[in-house]
Amino acid sequence: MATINPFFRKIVLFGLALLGLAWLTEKALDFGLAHNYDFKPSLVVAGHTRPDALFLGNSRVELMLNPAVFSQHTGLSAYNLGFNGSSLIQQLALLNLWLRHNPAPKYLFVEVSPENLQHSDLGFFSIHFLQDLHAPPFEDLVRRYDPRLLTLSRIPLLKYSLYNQVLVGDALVGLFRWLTGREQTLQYPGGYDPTPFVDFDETFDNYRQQHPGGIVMALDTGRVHKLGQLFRFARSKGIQVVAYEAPTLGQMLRLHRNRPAMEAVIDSVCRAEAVPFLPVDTTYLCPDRRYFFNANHLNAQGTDLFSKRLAERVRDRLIK
Amino acid sequence: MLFNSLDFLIFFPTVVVLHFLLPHRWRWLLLLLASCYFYMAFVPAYIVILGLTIVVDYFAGLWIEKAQGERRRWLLIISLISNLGILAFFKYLGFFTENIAELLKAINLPYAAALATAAANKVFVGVLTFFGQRGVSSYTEAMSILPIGLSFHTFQAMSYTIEVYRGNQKAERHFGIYALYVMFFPQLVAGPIERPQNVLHQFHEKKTFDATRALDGLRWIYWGLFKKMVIADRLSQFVDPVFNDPNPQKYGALATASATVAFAIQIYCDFSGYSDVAIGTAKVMGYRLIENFRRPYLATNIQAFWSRWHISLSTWFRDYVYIPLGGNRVSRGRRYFNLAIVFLVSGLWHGAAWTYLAWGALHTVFNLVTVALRESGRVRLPERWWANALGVVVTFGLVSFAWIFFRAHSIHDALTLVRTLGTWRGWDVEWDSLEYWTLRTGDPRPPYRMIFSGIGLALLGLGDYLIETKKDRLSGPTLRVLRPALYAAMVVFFLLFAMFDDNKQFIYFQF
Repeated sequence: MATINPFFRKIVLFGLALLGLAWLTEKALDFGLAHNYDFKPSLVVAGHTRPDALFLGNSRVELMLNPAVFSQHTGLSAYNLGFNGSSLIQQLALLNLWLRHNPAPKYLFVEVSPENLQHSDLGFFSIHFLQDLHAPPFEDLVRRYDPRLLTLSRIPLLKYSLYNQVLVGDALVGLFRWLTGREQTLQYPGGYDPTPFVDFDETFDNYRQQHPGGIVMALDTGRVHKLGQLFRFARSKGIQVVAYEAPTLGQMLRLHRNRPAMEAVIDSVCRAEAVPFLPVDTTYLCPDRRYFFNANHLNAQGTDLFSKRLAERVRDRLIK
Repeated sequence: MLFNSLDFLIFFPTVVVLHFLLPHRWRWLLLLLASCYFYMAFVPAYIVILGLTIVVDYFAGLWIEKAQGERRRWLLIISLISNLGILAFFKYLGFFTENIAELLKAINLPYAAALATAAANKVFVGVLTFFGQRGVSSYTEAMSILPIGLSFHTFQAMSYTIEVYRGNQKAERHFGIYALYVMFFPQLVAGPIERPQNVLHQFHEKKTFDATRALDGLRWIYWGLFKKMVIADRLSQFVDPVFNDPNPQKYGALATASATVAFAIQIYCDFSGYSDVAIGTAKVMGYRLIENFRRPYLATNIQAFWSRWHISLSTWFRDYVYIPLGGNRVSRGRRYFNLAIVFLVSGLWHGAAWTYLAWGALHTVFNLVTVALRESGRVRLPERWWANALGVVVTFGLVSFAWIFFRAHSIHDALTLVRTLGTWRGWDVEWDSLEYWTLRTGDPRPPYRMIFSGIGLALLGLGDYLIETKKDRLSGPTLRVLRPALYAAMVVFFLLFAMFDDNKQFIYFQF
């Protein structure tokens, strides 16, 4: 018994020290994350940008739309709010986050490809709503798709621990920038981070080998409904919505046996919601592997060319 | 159950509390049940195999002790065959069948090859189905679901019967305590491979709770998990792309060399991290396990490396293979042959693949050259710091080079990596390739996380070292404040930089 009491005293002291230090560290990291404006949600929450055009989508926006090139050819300021793996649920939530902290942009560009309407993993990233975790509708969404985060966020530091792979690095970048007075210096202005990958990799050839007879994409009606919901929500806020399809390698387009039928679904949703749709121009970039680093993603050179092409189509057809 | 899992975080404190609450006479039962639960968290049915070897070795030990002359020897042989038979079946049947089939094909006997493969598949799939592993159609598919840590507990069980045979250890009468010797959960699946003289008597001794010892055990656990989850698992993000897809166009000499060094550090942190957690876990409950690593990468020659790396296995091979083969008391040629046997068998112990054999063969060459040079007296370095530093660098280089074969998926992959290492395409290309490699991890730039974690690690390590070595010079109140503050900082650091990934098993589990 004589040794147990000092042991428990030590445990209690240690617990208190741990709790205090964890709380302090969490506050420092919260501050750092909020001041790293290359972490797109922080920029959205800070309300530091007022673009005319906002781009939403997954990696086919994040890596494949250069807002500087787009602005140069349209005269519209633009921000790329694309996230790798982002689903339509995530995109709707991001638009909500944007409107909560910023005025509505004039245009909303949504990248829509048949791949977005397939059955696939969800693609909801709760960490993007960390700074508004307990605000509606984010709390409900996080409770539904990532309840672990809501539970752990009640204990100091554990939300960072759970996603330390992403959050800690970004929070430290913000903290160091703030300490050195460089918080407004953005590494990726406009939200665009050009991909470092240049050469076409082997994934498509492996994929084609595995599917010599081509593939049939499975339509997810829930996603079709969500697309319409996104369009309606944006329009209800007075935003002019434009849907477009980014380039895919031509050989991949031909591998999809029901691609025309899926594109017809997109077209019908756009018509129903009165949203102009700019389908992919299969004769431009798509035939040439030099502009892609895999079948679904352009490299930086391809991205600049596509951003210019999209800007020209927007300028000629939509901007009055 | 993995040490780096949430389950273990609940399991371990529960076992510790119950261990000290229960009267001494029931503790063996608690530890045995806990060990069964720990093992069954992987594939429950495999406990039958473990149980079988325990029963055989328990009775073998008792009978060997009583028997005399030839009978004694035969009992040992039966025990060894039963242990090695299980190991051979589960671990080596596929490898040997595959190679025999290739050989039969090469001598134009394709039907015999197909027959051998089909027979091996039928037996293997039948046995795995018996153990509830359905959906497996061949032994190649089954390699990932073999009994976990089989080589470790088999070697530990064998050391018991051998020591009883040699008269160095009394046969254990208590079946439960003998079972616990084989199954003690801290070291059940990845060692250290214990000797009966070190562990068995500890299960008979009454353990009382000692706060200082428990805290020391927790420190071992912390640093072990730290090595695994902060260093090894992070490094795997850099190592895996290069070794899983050796492609000289993507990863040039600089990237491949960096990945090789990263793997050398990864495997050390992964395996020694496991051993540290095992030692710490046992220590909290009052049991002592042997040290398994002693700063191996600071060894100044390859022989010194092997006296510091996986010590429990090296000494096992020394005591039960090298010395029985004649040890140092035989002719030079025979000694070299014995040494080669030890390293080749050690390679095969790690896995049934040509890559492990190649790794063992490389270490055979390194060791033989070292011994030959020393005995010839031609190379004699002065006892100076620079000579030691040179020795450390060369030894680390050789060991890292051999790790290429250990980590590669095939000999072809390993040779591709070696060829890449020898092809320098100019600084610009190599630098681009290095950048491409580092960007695969998706870390934000600038890499403050790496910089901060490096500095943090150095500070925490230094703080822990200073407090533990200078504690006698610090006043009581200072120590009472410093220690919890440092440990709290260590936990915070761990929470921020460890990888909490359920799929990150320890590398040595597969052996």
